[in-house]
Amino acid sequence: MHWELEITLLIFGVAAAWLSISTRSLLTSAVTLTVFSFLMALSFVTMGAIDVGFTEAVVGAGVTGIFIIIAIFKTARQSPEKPEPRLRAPRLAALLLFGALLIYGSTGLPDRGDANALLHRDPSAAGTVNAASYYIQNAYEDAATPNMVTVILADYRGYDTLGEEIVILAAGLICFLILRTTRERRERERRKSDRFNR
Amino acid sequence: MKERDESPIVLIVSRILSPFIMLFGAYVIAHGHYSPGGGFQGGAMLAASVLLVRLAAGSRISELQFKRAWGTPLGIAGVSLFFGVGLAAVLFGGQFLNHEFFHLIPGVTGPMLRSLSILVIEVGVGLAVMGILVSIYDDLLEEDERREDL
Repeated sequence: MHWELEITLLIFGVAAAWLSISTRSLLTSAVTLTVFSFLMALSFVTMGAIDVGFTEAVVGAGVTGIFIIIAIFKTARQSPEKPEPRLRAPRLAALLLFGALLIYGSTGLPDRGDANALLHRDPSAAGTVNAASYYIQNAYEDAATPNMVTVILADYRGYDTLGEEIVILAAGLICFLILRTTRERRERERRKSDRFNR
Repeated sequence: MKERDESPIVLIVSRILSPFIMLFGAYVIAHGHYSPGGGFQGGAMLAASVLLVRLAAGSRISELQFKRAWGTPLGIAGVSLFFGVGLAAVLFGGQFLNHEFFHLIPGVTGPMLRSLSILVIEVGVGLAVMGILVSIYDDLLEEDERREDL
């Protein structure tokens, strides 16, 4: 649809990704990574997936950047000096070969938004009602909610969203258990430092 | 983290901006039925508003806004709210997460009931995401804050 805009976004995205892996300053790397996330969010919006773009902008470009920068401040600012890699030519060849394979594979994919693609046909190849067209036709009547994506996330696919929440909770609890020190340990360390100060 | 330069401009701007980001996050959660967004995005924005003050002012001032101890309980409360909506449908004789059986409000049935329980779920998701993102931030920085206290 907006292929000029998409090409511009993708060129800048590739540049940001290249910069973030080639620079030695980790802080620059983190910032260019958030730039990459933001460009990806914009390109999701041009594809019409506004909800996904919103999530990418808030989480990828916002919160993840903060976490990465904290991690950098707590560890090292610069990536270590790397020795010159051996077997440079074969590696490059393997990389190019793999890229060519991916591009060849992508030619077999259906066009975006193609109503006649095998995935989007209604009835589906198995002769049943296509889930996507069922959602599009019935979301408003089923849940009185104009935003179809919300109905799919919270109602039709409620299990998936619940699972997602449990995964997030598990991640938070794991950070809590690994990183947060207990009161006894804190007391012990304080006593040790008191003794040291005296 | 590195020594913080106390800049009054950063402090003031972050303190003025934070409530507006929070308001927009609440709007995104509540308006998810009609516009892009929903619990996850709104919750992440609520978390971002808290993290902004934490980054700019340090957690001693930011604790006035959102206590360090609240993050994990808030996350658990959000997930429990989501789970409770599903379980309530079971208690009223339906299937798990079948919102048509969520008869907590008298007089509301059918599509409106499903719409309403979607709102409850979105609020639960928003609380969970906000609480957990803030608690991960606090866990990452805990050691330094402790040293600051001493």
